[in-house]
Amino acid sequence: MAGGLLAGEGAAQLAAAQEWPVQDRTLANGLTVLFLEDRQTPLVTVQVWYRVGSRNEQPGLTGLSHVTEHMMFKGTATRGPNVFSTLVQKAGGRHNAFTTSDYTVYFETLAPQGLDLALELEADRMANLVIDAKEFGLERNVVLEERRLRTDDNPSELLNEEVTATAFKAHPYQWPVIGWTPDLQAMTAEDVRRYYQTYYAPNNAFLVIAGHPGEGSVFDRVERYFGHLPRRDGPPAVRGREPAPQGERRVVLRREAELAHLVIGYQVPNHQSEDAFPLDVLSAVLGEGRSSRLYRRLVYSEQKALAVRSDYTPFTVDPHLLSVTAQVTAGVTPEELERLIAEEIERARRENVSPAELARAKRRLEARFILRQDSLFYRALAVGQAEMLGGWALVREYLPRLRAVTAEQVRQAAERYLTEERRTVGVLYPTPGRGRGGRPAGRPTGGEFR
Amino acid sequence: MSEGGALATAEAALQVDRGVLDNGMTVLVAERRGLPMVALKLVLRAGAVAEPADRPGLATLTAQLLLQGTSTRSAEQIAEAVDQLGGAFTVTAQHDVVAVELAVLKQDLPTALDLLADVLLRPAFHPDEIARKVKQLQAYLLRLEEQPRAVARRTFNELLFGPHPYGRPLEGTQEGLARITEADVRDFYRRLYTPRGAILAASGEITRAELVDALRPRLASWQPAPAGPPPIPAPRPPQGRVVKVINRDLQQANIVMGHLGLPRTDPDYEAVSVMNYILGGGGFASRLMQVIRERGGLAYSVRSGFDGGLLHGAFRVEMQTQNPTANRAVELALQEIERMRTTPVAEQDLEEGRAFLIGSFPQRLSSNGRIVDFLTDVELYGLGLDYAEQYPRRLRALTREEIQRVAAKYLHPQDIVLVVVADEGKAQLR
Repeated sequence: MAGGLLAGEGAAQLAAAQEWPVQDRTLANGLTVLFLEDRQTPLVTVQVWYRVGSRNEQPGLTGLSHVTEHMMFKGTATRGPNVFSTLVQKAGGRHNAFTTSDYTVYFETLAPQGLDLALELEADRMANLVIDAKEFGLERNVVLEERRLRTDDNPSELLNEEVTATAFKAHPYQWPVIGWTPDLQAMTAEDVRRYYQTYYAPNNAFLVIAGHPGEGSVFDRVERYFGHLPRRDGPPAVRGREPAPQGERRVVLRREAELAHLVIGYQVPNHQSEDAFPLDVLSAVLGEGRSSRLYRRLVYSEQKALAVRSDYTPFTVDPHLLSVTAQVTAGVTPEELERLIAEEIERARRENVSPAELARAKRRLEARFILRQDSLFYRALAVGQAEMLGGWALVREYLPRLRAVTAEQVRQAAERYLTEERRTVGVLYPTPGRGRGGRPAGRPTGGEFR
Repeated sequence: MSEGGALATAEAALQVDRGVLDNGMTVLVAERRGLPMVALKLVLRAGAVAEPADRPGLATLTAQLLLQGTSTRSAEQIAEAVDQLGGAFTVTAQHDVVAVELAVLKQDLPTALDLLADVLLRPAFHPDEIARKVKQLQAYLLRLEEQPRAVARRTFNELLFGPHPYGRPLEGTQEGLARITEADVRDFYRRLYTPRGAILAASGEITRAELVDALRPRLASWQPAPAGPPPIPAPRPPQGRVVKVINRDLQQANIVMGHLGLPRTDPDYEAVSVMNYILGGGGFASRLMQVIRERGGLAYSVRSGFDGGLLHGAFRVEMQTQNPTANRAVELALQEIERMRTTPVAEQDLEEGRAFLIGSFPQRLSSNGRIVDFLTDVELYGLGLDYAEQYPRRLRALTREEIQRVAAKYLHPQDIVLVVVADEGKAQLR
């Protein structure tokens, strides 16, 4: 398949699908609006993206972005708590929100005639949120429950959190999106008010609207609801920069669990680097899918791991990790599994991947990128993510940049970044039966839903 | 192939073209232009209900072995082919059925159908691959022990359904998996992987004629097995309250509580879904969410649902709360169930539930992936090709009295099965 990956009619069809016909406009108050029209289904998705996530937080106030997201459903000057949910659901709409280390997104999907409602409600809470102390106290408990659910009682999440916290010693990516437990316990309604005042403003946000807009101009309607909202002072820049790593770091957990878990995180660059797309392909070659090297050897052939996978995304605001995660088969030590993974990493650093392997990995990433567009929500998300990182048109560059990756670039990326000194290794050793003892706390990747 | 009905649903303008192949398989196609892709879902009556009672896990094992080698491809070659297609090719056993799901670029459809036909008609069931999968599933069972919600759900199903096949864990048990032989797998496959009763749905850049033409040569040798699966009796749940606490080193109590529900095919299903929306299915609009999360601050996630299949599924409330508040959360949930049973809902509650369920219906048809889920459900449960039209009509006809009737009929707080996986010392369950 190398070379003519997409030939003839297929290529023409794909080109059509890849146009990403986004219209954009920026209001006088700095709010950018991106509109991706698609009238195939009578539905529209509204996403409001705020340029704030856990990377904007300070030590002592970790988790504040995510708590603020929760409070955004607690009412405004003219609408009480839960009025938001009731109105959207009555209109047949689904809604939610999520927070990542880089951004916070609120969204509604509903029939075209519900677009005005979604815009009105989003504009209202962009400017008029009420943070009531009693509501805040209840919601903080809800977030603590969320943390117990996702992280504290989940050994593999706990290990991920510890590895990330160990890998970054200066950059805010070190703390989890959901925040550290003591910070959450000490947080106040006033903290949320100040945070909201600082980051929730039209000039620190943008809208992505995708789907069927119904009657009338989308831009006129956005202007009607958002146009009068005042611009605010720009929020402070994130100053934390991760210095060059000086050597391998290790973290060990012991928990009541059945199997040992292993996580190896490497500090790698993001989309701003020429190496980002080779790293994307490298991650696929190593551990995405059952034909990947790590899966094939460790899970299938040698049966040393129950599961193994590699994760990387170029699309973070600051450089993050490429990580290999494995669950160790009973009777195998984490040390042995780590040694086998190291062999595969070493091989990727020394030898070029074969043309067939390269083509397959690229093809997998390419097909996945296109197939995800089956979802309107995902298309809006891809546009928003690109806008977040420098401009929505970047979404058009994904496939060309991916297709241009060569075997030699993949090897060089492995050689440069999959090194001992860039590595943080985390091991969770299972303790049998009902062990006792206090528990530390949680991490990001992906995001926390409301 | 016999001609079937074509129909445009009012809300979403979905054209469905249905027909039945000579071998008995129903084919449903929704043609949608736009993205050059096709989503396919094949449903076979080869789920866990058809397993021999002493071979739990056989349905899952057989399903997973489809991708572990055929007469012409090794497991590794299949893995390469799947990844080459984008990686979206899965085979999953449920209680009633096995689902083969794939989503591919249009240009890859011939390759994907070759692969589909190969794994479906010519699985190798090589002894080495069976041994490997059994070992993997046994390790996976250990992994599930680390997930308190999974432990709670499995225990709940065991207690509620007892020896009925709906009580069986899909992933099997250590002993059950150890007992399975190559002959068991081959026999299960031969009896149940049959086109009679099979459903194939497709959505995307494809017509029924195109799909049938492509399938005909590939599936020519696929003929019905002599006998269908034996009928399964309805579950017989325990009477009275059953409580089980599982002690683990956890910060949260993981609570699953409920009782027998109703089949998906029951004519009351829509009324029950509106009732459940008000009780605990409606997200932030639901009573359980309001009382336990919004006003109590006791849980992040709380919901109720009726998961009816071909037979009576379960009614379940699931929530997690820190150990010391477990009693309080259970009490509140029971109060809400009781209130729903005994106090008529307000007209406004009914109206809001109905408005959401009708208004959000088009979202169930908003992507190719969702459309094939919808179409296979419509066929499997006999909902009728006009279900998308009937659904809003049926909901609009519901009254408060009707909601009251189904609440009294389908909620039984006196027969609750309650499972809590928690730190027993801190939770002190009563």
